[in-house]
Amino acid sequence: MSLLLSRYAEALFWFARYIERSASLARILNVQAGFWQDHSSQENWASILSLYADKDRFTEQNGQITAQKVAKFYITDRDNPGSILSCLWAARENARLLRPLISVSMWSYINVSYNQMKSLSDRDLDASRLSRTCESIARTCDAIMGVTEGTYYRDAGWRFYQLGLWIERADQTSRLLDVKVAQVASFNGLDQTETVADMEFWKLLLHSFEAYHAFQRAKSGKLDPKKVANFLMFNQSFPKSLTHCIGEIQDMLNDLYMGYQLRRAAQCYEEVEMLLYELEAAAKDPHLHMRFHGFNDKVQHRLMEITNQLGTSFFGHADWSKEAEECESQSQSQTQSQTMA
Amino acid sequence: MSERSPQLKDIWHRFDEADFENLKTRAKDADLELFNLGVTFTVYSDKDVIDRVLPFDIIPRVLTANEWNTIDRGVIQRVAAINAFLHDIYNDRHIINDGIVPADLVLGNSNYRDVMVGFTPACNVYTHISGTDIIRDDSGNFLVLEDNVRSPSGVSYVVENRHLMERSFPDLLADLKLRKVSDYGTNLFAKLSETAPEGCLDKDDPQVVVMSPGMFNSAYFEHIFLAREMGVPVVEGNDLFCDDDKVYMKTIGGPRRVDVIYRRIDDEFLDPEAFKPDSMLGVKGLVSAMLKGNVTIANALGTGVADDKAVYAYMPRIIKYYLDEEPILSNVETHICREQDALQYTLDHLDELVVKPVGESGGYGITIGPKASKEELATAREALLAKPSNFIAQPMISLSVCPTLGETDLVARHVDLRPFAITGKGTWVLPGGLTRVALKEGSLIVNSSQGGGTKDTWVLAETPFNPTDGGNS
Repeated sequence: MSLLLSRYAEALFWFARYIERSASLARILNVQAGFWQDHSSQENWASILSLYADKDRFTEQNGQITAQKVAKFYITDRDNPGSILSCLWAARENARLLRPLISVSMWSYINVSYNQMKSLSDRDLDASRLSRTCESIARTCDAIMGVTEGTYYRDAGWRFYQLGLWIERADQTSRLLDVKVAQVASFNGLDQTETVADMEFWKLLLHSFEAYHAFQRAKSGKLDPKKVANFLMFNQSFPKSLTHCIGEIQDMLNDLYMGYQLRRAAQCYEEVEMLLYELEAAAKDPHLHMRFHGFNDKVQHRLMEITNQLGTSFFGHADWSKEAEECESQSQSQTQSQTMA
Repeated sequence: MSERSPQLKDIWHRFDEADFENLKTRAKDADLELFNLGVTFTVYSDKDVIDRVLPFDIIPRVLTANEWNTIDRGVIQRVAAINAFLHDIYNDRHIINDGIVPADLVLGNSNYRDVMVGFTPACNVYTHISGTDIIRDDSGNFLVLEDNVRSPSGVSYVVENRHLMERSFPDLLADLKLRKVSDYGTNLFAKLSETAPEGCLDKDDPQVVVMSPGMFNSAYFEHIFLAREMGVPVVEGNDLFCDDDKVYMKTIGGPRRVDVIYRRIDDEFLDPEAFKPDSMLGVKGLVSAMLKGNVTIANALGTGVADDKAVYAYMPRIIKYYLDEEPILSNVETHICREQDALQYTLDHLDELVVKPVGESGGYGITIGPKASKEELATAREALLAKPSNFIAQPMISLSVCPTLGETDLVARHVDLRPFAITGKGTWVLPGGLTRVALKEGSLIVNSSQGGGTKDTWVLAETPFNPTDGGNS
């Protein structure tokens, strides 16, 4: 098998990102759906819009914020490139492009899922059904990742798929924390959570990450805001924490560099090391809550930098013609290392 | 099916036994499966993608070993003659100088490519992949209706249709000894590898790619299919670049040499430097790299001269000229309207003849005399008189029919057959080929763009027991 085409690597990367993004969005909406009637509901639906910086665009198109409208905007609205339907469409188009690489079952599962998604109607987004709809979308995304995990040939492309997955997951975690914590920190500060409403808030936050039980196992006891935030950001074993995600990204780049002898991974690797260093420093910082937004902003920025660097190093976003001659002499040793890997 | 072959009897007996409603239900399931598998051709609108399944008829078309033997030999002969013809017209032009084929038909042909003059591709192969459209007349003779030697499509359906039959009707297929179609990809890869160019770095393991115009092309599914079956990448123009007359693809490890390009892009879009400067699909410098012997382009450029409908008329003479053999598969009788007598005959018998524009494909612009209205005939007459050399005319052939699953019963529908031949150091023909069926009652047009469907094509193995080539898996 020859070296992976740049376009395929990029498609695998974005395929993973779109599926992960859909899953994450479905979970966030699902948790929200459970609180549809809640008194703080209006504000929470609005906070989802801030999460993706969509508030202006939303109001421009839809006017007043209502649960029904926000759900539609994020689930079935094809005019919103950030909706689940748009993400799954993009994932499917990437998968279509990847068909020479992916299994028949993977393609057909994605194909069937998208067609089901497309047939969702407004009735599926009613208060009574929204939760079930979100749950089924999340389950569909899980299954797509499952069939990918179960059938995708573990070549270099797998590493790009994984890079997409972990970068997107880290990004989602950082965004969700940023917006949610800002919501309470702005009027309560991170240290005081005496009220029942606050307790509910932190519980809801853990549920948005499907982290409630994992948190209880790791840190049984009271829902201490700092503990929750630290768990979601820095717990090594929680698969959505920043520390865990970035660690996985590092492993993948290491695989590409060492296993596949792709020296181009070096620049990305440096970016990731810097990010890890920043995470370590933040984990030790007793005043992190004071610069919480700035920190998350930086994390998201670094993740973007890593994505851009992948584009330059691997996805062919740079001019490579000068390197053509060089490749003639390299090709022999590359082939050998491919076989080894 | 006039033969009294016990195998044939057995097959039709199986279908007779099967309950019609049961067949119908399973046919529906099969359609759904095709859709879910994405065995589709694709239509794009502004925002969405419409995947259409090419209608599939579950009643197979069956060819006996003897029938297939004739087609197989006939196709191989024809491909050999076409390759010899193409080499000749781009080099010594003996066939023109000897007055067999008129010079302007060849040199004035819109598909003639001047860049090919004096160039000989690896193994002297021009048409690596070809599809020969064959029909059967009243007396059971196989006749060639059309050659497709540019970029024939449809082979993916041949393989997928068989898979589908195996999954949907395992009981009907049980113990039948059919020639297998599943090794098309392996053979294609082997033959393309044989034609690796002089400048290839490792002739034992050349880098083959399938070049596609991209997802927006209606045959994208087939491009993917071919790449998968061969285990090679599907590239688009942007994945490739040329440097120092060599072709590279962009990979995660940097640029890598490409040796053989199975392209599913028309000549004019291949290289903006050589043809359309505004082509976004092509690769600058590709033609120059080919001429330097650093890359094989399959099919070669300029093969379209050989499948022109006007040149088709000369094919029996072309076969005789290069191979000194009688054609194994005859042409349909053809009147070349550029010749005065033929034009007069065509005008006199317009309501009996099928008039076809040359240089067109896809069943467009055809006038079927016996079925045309007065207005349509008048339009055809006008067009003929305006530019006679644009047309050929053929008698109305009563295409053979095949049993086909109708709404309430099995019905007879017209079919044709497109076997696929692959040529490297020799020619191999995939046993069977694409059977297209006109699903509308009485219709003769089998093109997928105009309401045609497909069938699985069963070629019976020579003997009931043949361990090397008898399986249908």
